[in-house]
Amino acid sequence: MKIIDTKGRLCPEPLIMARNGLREVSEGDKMQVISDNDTSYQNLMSFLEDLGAKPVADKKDGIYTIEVTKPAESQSEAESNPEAYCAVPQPAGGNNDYVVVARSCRMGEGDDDLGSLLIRGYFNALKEMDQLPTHIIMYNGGVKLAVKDTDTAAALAELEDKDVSVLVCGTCVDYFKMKDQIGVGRISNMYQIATTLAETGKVVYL
Amino acid sequence: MSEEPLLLFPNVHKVMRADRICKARGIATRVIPVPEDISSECGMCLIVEGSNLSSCMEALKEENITFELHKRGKQ
Repeated sequence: MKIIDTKGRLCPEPLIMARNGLREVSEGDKMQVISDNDTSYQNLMSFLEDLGAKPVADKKDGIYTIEVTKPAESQSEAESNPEAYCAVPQPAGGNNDYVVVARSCRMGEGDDDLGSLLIRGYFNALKEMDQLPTHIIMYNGGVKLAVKDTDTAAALAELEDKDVSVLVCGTCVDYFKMKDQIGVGRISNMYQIATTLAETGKVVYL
Repeated sequence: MSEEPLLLFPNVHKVMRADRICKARGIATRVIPVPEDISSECGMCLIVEGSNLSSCMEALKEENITFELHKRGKQ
């Protein structure tokens, strides 16, 4: 049986992989789609349902195995538009909004080099997440993350492209004399920062 | 689908050393967590843009840094 392993892939990739896999099997044949992500699993189930592939799922040790049957050739709209199934679910009655605050150019305390490595890993991972913050605020040494030609600035630019507001503390940029080096984000003042923090339900301090 | 090369190292100290070596030679790197489909352990790895990959690998070999090369779909 053909097996499509989508573990570690982010939407819409699992949907496209599943669709392409189905194209390669014969009508009536079974195929398995493997997922390790709740959101991807839900999106895959809706998509495969609409394709008429009769998905049946099983979950074991956090891994979903979805068994599908290749339907008769159909003109389902889902076939041509898997991206439309990339919904990010909102928890019932809840608000997912959150703000990330970088208080320094490192993550945690203990070793500065390790802290620098971790925060670079964090922002490069964050940009691949389904659930993005509404704002990223950088102050004090955190503004150094926005310096041009760094991988953190590149990640922040990608987050901006995904409608995340990146606020860089103007006082801090001035203090470090880094205005010419800032490559991403909006230079912001403490009123904007205070307002953003006051208006959000959840703040994640790095 | 385009792929990007991931460089995995035996421990985080080697990641940091490799990163410094690349930086000293003007090779841009990105730090990302090791993808879960490669290892379930908490670790970091480096992404080097394709055009710099061979010079990066050469530099790491010169400095006796051992690494594994993996590929992943471009995010």
